[in-house]
Amino acid sequence: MLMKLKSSGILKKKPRAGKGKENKQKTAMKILIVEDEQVLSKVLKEKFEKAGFETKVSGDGEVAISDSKSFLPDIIVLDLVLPKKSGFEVLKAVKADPETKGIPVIVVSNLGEDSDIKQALSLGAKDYFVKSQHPINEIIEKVKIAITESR
Amino acid sequence: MEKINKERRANFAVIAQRDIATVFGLLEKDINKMLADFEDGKITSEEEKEIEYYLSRMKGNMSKMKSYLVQNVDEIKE
Repeated sequence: MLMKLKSSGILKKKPRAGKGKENKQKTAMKILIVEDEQVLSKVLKEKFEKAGFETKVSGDGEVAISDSKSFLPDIIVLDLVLPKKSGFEVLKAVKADPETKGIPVIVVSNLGEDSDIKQALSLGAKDYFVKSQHPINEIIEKVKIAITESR
Repeated sequence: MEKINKERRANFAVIAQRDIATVFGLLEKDINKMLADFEDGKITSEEEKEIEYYLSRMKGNMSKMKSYLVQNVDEIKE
């Protein structure tokens, strides 16, 4: 199982301050799931954890912005319709912060208008999936591919 | 513990229901597009190509869903 995770790119080397020795320790890739709907966030969390990822769930836009800085995920899965701050605002904030701007963001939303998709991509989203057009397992597969590609 | 398992199974069942609705929605959309191509009783070569594309997309969606739905049901049973 560990070998499978290593070869799939889900595990990464954990950087550690030391005396110049290369650190061989591996840690799980981190995913921040920004989703206010609990049924979906719980299922996504379980599925990603089963696949070997470390996860954190943010239930609103404000928490998502602070979690992106404290958790420093390898990828963010972002819903757009959120309490407190919208996903667009979260995306703007993440991309404006030098600490988090390099984190790939994948939008998973019910909003399926071309204008929404264009806006999210122009704000720096790596990819965009309309919930009603993709089964959940397909979205998970796409996120896994994106996280491996972004390494 | 049993309550947690029950809630977990219910969550996975909701997602499975949505996935079923998603795939049938996608299939329905392609079928409606093909029916629109047939509406005037004639099929142009352009419409023929469209229909071929819709059929191949439907085939892809069905084969994807076959494995995803089995996976969903397995997760509900866990």
